Amino acid sequence: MTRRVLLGLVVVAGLLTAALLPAPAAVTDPVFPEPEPGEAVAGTGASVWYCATGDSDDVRDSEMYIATVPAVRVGITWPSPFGADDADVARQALDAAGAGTIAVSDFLRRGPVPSLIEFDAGPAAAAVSSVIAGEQGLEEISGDGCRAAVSKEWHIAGGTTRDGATLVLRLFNPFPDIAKVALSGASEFGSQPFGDPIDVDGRSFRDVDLSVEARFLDDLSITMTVTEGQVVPALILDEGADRAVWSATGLSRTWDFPFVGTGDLVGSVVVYNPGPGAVTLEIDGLGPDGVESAATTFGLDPLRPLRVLAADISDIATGLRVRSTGPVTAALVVEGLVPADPEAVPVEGEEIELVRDGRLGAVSGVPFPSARWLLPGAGARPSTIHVANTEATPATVTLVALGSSLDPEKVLVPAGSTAAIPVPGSGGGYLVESDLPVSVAWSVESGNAFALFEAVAIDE
Amino acid sequence: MSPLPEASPAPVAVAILARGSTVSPDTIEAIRAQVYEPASIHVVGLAAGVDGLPAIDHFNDLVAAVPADVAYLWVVASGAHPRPDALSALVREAERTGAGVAGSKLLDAHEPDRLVSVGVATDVFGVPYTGLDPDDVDQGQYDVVRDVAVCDGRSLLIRRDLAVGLGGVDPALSLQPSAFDLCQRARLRGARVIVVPSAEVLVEAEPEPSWRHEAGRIRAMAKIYGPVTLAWVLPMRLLAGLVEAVIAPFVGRWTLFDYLRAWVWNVWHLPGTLRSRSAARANRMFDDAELFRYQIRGSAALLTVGRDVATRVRTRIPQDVATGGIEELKRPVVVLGSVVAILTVIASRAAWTATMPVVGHSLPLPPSGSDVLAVYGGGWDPSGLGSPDQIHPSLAVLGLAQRILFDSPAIALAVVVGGVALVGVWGVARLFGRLGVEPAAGVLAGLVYVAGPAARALGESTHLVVIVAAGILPWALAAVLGAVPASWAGKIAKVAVVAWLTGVAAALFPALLPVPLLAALVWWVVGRGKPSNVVVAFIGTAAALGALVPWLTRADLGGWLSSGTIPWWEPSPLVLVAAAVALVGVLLVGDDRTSPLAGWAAVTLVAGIVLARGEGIGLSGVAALAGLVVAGLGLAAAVASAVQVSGDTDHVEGPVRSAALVALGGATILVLSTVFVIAPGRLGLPEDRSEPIDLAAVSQVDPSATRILVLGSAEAIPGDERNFEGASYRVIPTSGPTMLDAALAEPRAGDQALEAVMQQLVDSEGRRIGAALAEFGIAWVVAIDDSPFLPFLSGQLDLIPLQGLPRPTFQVEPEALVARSADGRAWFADGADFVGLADAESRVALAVNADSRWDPGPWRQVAWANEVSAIDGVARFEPVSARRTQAWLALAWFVVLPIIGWAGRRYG
Repeated sequence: MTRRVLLGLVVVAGLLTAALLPAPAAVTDPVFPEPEPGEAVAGTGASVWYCATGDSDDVRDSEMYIATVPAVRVGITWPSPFGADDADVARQALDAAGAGTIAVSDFLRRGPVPSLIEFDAGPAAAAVSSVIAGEQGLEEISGDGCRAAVSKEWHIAGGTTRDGATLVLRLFNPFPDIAKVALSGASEFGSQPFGDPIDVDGRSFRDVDLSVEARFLDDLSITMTVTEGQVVPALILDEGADRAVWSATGLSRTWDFPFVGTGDLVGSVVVYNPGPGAVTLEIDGLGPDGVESAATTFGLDPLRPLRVLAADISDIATGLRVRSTGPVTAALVVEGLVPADPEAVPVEGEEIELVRDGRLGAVSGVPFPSARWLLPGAGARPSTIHVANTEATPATVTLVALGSSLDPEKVLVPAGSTAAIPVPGSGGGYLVESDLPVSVAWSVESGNAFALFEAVAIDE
Repeated sequence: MSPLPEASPAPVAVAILARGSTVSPDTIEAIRAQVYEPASIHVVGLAAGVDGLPAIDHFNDLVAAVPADVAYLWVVASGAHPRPDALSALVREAERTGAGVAGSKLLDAHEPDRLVSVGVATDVFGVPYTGLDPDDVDQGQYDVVRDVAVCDGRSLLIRRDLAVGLGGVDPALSLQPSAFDLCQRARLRGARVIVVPSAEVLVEAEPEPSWRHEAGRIRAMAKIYGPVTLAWVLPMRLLAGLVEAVIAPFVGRWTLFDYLRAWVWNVWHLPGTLRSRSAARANRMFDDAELFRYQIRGSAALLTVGRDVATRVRTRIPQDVATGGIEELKRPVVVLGSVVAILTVIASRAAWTATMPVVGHSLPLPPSGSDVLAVYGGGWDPSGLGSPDQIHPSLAVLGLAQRILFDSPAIALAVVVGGVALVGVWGVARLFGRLGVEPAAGVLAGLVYVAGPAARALGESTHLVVIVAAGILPWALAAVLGAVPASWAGKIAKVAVVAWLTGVAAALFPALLPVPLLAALVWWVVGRGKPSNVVVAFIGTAAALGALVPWLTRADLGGWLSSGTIPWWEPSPLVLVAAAVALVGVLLVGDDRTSPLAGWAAVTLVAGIVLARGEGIGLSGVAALAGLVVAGLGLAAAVASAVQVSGDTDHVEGPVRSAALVALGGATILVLSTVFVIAPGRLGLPEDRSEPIDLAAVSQVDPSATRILVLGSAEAIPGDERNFEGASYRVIPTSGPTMLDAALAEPRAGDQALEAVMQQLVDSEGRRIGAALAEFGIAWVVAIDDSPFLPFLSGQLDLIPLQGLPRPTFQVEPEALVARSADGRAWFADGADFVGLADAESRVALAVNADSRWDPGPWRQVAWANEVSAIDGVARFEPVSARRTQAWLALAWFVVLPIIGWAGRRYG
């Protein structure tokens, strides 16, 4: 009997133990941080940059701009529409603090030449331009920075299919698998449908002529939803003379524009709210007097792009910051406007009739400031680096010419202001370092040609 | 009785064949009592005459010596007792039918109405098949003179001229094979061979067939059949004998050694056989088709074994029941046993139908068992990126089984996994039979053991080898808990059997090694066991360690013990309540037989549950798996005791009966819970998940030349997995993972390099991860289920997503080969080796973890991998000799222990 009791106690104790044993902690899959979709950020490791634009034909030539902080080996691949085996590849090595310019025509001429550029170390970045050289300098230049990350949803503002404008959306799929992209858009009339999703073959591109798909719209902003695969989109605006090329972005609540035009280069900021709710925009002016906070305030309905002349926001602003209560995208379109009669004398109370002189440039906004920037291509020919300091204290900015023997140049950018720093054509890129986070872009102007380029923030 | 012939027109000489050194006087007397008076009677095989009868050395001498006027020779074996009219019937029917050979109906000398033989059919291998049940009663149901394949050699009448023409009997053969040989040769010459049922002969039980019988049959086949028949019949006999050797031990017969000896004997006597063959086939009138007319289809040996198995089941259980005295259990036991066996087969039907799910650690067997054994004996472990580390002994057991079963993975898996379910039921019934439980209760407990809640959890863990080990374990426990013999030889045999069974179970899953000892201890503590059982268990367990070398001496036991995780066991509350009700009911009203069993069940069940749920307190997956097996034993014991106590109290009224019925209710719930394992038919294993990784069909190169990187959850990945910051992955061969790939060895340089590539992937460093993976021979990347790696794959420039596959699958664009010659040619995996084009000037890069024992040299380490010469066309790993020696010792252990056990039981 005693044995039975003891046994019973052992069993009961065991049962209690079994009942009270804690369940092991549930195992959950880790979530590895993915790169910010769609942003052009130069990391410290190897990277691949996708350049959707670029043309190499009997008229235009493309220049690939590469810039790096450490010594790198670079591989440039131009996928062929005829299959992966026929891709053209160029390889190059750059020393530390190096930069280079590669003329695509040295390798191939087949019209549109989207490409991908692989660096085996970083920070490094790439940009691409298309140029038409004339006897009096450049007749045309357009270009933009490349993208180091892709997104399933892209947005791009600032397009127009007004009379005389050709607007092409280039969808570059650098990956092996087919991509399916659903387009939706918005114009001054509201939502703009675009039919069935578009297939983009792997390692290929597809140009969508929006001038045909959505004719005679003053403002056309696009949202691209990638349902399969991945693409890198860019807009190409051609008004008969110069071209503007700018890349799609993600959404942000702030957008900085270190440059909004000068003189007869008139800039318009276009803000696009893909929805779903209305947002309120506050646009700060950056100028010699510091920040003009909320210089202009707008309510922005979804799917109603807002285009506003920079000069209408502030007469003296040389840069802008767009702040929004919701995620939006924003771009700057710059046109050259000159008096119709060059010899006309301004008369008070009368407006001088302005006409486009053909210069055209566009760039997406800078979503966040950074203390270090890479500017591939800046200085490949005489350029201007635009720095916006949105902080409350002056920023000391150092410009380091990459691939050049030029000494670094220090510039003090006042608080809430911008600086336009001309740089000579001596290298192939710049490294901009600041003691405070700043926003940077750069531009090229030569003859009748004008282009705006994004700078690439360096991921710290 | 047949009427006497009017005359004796055909003189007959009788040959009484001596058996051993004597001739039975009863046989002589019966011959002399024949109403058909023989012309002469001779004693064959003795040097001197007996009882006034002349002796002659051999039957063939008699054939030559008898006068020409003798028409027939009647061969009667000593011990046979012909009825007085037997000879007259034989002669009369032989004359009437014109038969050359006539045989008698044989009846049991002790039970004259029991049939022993009425003519003999054989299979094509010459194995006799009477078609009679052991207890077939002679009711005249076979009393018709008819042609048969063979006459029993104990009473056989042959025409003298035919015997002369045939050259007598084959002196190298024993009685029955000789009769077979004689009848077959007679039929080839055109003679009829008949059986005469009216010629009744009483016979003693024939000694068990020996190797001489088997050898004689093989020789007879070799002599008689034409070349075409021989081309298939000899190999088939070889295989059939092997199958019989595998199955026969389960019915208590060992045929392996007879089988081997018979074939060796025939090889030795091959020249004589060939000479005899020429004579046998000369002047034949028919071809082999005439012989086939009187033969049964298939293998009589296997039919006999099958019949023996059925007989054993049929006879054994009622015999056990008969001692129990419980009518309710007696009556349904045969039906119940059959139903449980059928349910068990249904529960394991995936094994029988070669549709075992490929999931987790349940993987197909490798193409060759020999390769597995070579790997176990100090060879190269090809799993993952390879390792020279010692592999698990379960693979050696499976490899050995596969090697025996024709090296067929499908047959081996069917026999091992499907068979072990039946063996498990049988073992549990045997175990609890030894603990005093009636067989009906035992088989129900067996069903709960192999298909109950614990078995279901075990199946869900996908650890197939543990399931197999669990099937063996009850036999070890039965051996441990059974009575210890009094004699020393018996004790030694007992220890050997315990050691062997424990060793086999432990080799499959080493964590089960202490279970028999602990079971004996608990059985002792609950009051039924004896110290001698514990001592036997202790010594047997210690001896069982021999089964585990070289794994035991080489593996990281600490690492193994702390390795792995399995799903945390959360048994249904209904199951727990049912078990508790059953046990409490038995403890309340059980007697000295059932109460200790319930106590044993309670302790076992609780211990199993604690182990199976102990992950939260640091117990490993190994402990949890062992816990599930132990809990399964506890549940089975609960069912056995509850069913038993309900039978014990059948004639009792009142609270005792009520308590017993409540206990029976609990047991019933546990039995019903087996439906969740029986219905799917996979022994509790989850559904197959191999489809996403079945890429062999789409591979452009031989799948043995490449690998797949599998991403997903630990449960979904086949076998073990590597872990990268909580995310699981591993590599498997494109040809498909096998049991050899289930366990991954400790990470080595290559594994670290691959981990660095995974780091590169999640860091988004570069977009050409395919090029990095190709260095490992990885040609495919498959996300078998959700994986945190997946978002990083679609952004790679050299991973081509494949459409139309069940899970995200990417093809690595750069050419990936595990083994590649310097000129870029692919080499292919062959077991653990690699084969390709021999080239004395070339080198082969092997994308397996670097080890200097790869041959042929000169060996060179390239990063984490190897480079060897291509001179032989084969790159192989030089086995570790010490481990190979230990593996041989383990095999010797495996063979010797059962021999000791058998010898001890036979001679002790």
